[in-house]
Amino acid sequence: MTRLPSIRSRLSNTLIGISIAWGVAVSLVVWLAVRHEVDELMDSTLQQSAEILFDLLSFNAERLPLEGPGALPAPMHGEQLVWQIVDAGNAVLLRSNRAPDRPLSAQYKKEGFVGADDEWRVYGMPFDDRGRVLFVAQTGSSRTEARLEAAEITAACALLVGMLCAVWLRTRVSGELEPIVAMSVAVAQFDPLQPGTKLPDATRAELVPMHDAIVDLGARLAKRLASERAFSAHAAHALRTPLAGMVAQLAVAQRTAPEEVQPQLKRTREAADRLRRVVSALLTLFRSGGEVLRQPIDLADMVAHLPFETMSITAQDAARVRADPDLLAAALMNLLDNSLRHGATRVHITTRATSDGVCLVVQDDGAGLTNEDCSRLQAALDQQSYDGATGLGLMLGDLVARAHGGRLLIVPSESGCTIEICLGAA
Amino acid sequence: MRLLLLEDDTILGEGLRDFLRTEGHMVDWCQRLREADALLSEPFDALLVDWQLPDGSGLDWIEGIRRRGGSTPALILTARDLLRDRIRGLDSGADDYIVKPFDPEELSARIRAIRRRASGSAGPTLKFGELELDLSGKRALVRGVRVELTAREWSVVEALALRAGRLVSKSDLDALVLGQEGDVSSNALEVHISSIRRKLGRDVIETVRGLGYRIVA
Repeated sequence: MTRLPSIRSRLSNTLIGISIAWGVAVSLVVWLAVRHEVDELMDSTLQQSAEILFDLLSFNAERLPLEGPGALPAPMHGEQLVWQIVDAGNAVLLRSNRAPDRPLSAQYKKEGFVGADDEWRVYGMPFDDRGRVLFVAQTGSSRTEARLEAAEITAACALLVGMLCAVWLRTRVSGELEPIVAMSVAVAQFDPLQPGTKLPDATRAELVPMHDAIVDLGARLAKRLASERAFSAHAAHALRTPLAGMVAQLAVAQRTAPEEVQPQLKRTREAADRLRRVVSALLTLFRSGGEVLRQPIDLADMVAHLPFETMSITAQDAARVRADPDLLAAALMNLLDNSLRHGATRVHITTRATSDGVCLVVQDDGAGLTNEDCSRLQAALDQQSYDGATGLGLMLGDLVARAHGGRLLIVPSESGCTIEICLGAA
Repeated sequence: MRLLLLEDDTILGEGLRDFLRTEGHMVDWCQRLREADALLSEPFDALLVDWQLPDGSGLDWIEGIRRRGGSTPALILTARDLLRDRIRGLDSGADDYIVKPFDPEELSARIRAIRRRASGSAGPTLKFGELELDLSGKRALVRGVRVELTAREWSVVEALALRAGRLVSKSDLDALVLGQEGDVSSNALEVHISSIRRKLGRDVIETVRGLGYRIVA
């Protein structure tokens, strides 16, 4: 059977997809926003730091060794900010301890942010009126680190929120699907044929149309079945009572009529008995709610009572099956009648155990069927298309087998005809 | 046995009546409930009742009899074969249920069975000292030797045997054996009983003067 898509899985997958997309989109937007804000904040910090540093350095300008390249003596320490004082020729005159020997900016610029290479972010301020410039710089890596840290935290938060939302929504979806599951259970237990049975009310507005449709369908079904049952009851009465009368009158005639008419009466009684079984079987098979009443059946005993005087019918010793005796007898009689009409003189009935029941193998020595006929008839039986091709015997046999949870099999054989009435487990 | 057959279908009713008579039973056949009601004051060995009758339900009729304390075995004859119908039929107070169309021979066997059960015997034979009665074969044996009885004599013995230990009034025995043809004022019954005593033994049937007869166990 094809695995059908699940609403729950589809919605869950959609929610997970949306959550991931949401997380990525939010992270991207946040990354862009954070980068801009972080840059702005750090630039501002850099500028203010430069201004403070300028004040400090210019206050002590006379004591600074600005004649040549050099660095202020200081113990080794980590510097997030470095500075340089360059002359008008962009040569480094003085620098902080960790500042590079080369100018922080290849471009000499008196004021403002200079360059934006990955290594340094530089802010320049004119240091004096001799063209000297103070460069203050942050390392590019510290800026990147700050950006990444902000972006990572924000992205993680966005993803976390997205996943939490996904989990929450999934729970909600499951919760919202519960009324459908509950309705399925209620529908499975709903028997519109039982008076007073009521389908529980729908608990969601969206389920009300489905609920009403099922109730309406059940009501229509119950009405049709009630009508069919009433018809069946009348039909059964109209068929069964005259048949019973016929059999009773024949039984009386058999007991009171002269000896010379006894053979005819016996055959008429047998025909009436056969008619009785066929009518009972048909009424059971074509009626809704007709029960198959399985009983242990001694096959040899049943076969011995079937009215086929001109044909030898034998059954496997001690073969027993559990089946509805009226239905099985009707099926056998019709199959045996087919054998008789196709020239059979002997029929042997055996049983064959199957994985889920038992098959009655009816084998005759009549004209038999070609392999093509077997295939054609089997296909018709498998599709339950009983129109024309199969005849009453095969149709009844198949219906009886199906009523017992099995099917009729037409088995190709080299001589005669072999038909198996397969019955499901009792 | 005296049987009350309630069946509205003429062909079936006639057929069953005639068949059961060939089996040696007395059969009163009615086609309406009101006709059957008129006969209920008389004793019967079994009631054979169709479910659907023109003037009511045979099931309701049986229920009414049971409510009034009637215990005559009843058998439903019906075209309804659904399980729920069988259950309802048996729950109404009927002792058995047979679905049309049926073999009259099967009906006859079921009548014997419900009658046997009503008399407290499960087996097909009843024993009273040296007397043994085979109800299905309609045979009487004394010390294992078969004794020939006429149909009427058998009916008397059977009626008393199915009510073993109980006193059966002359009028009831007349009704059970002779049916509506019986004439209480005649001495036909005494003649049959006298003949039975000669064949089966003097002490087999006890006469309680002024009250009736009973079979002696």
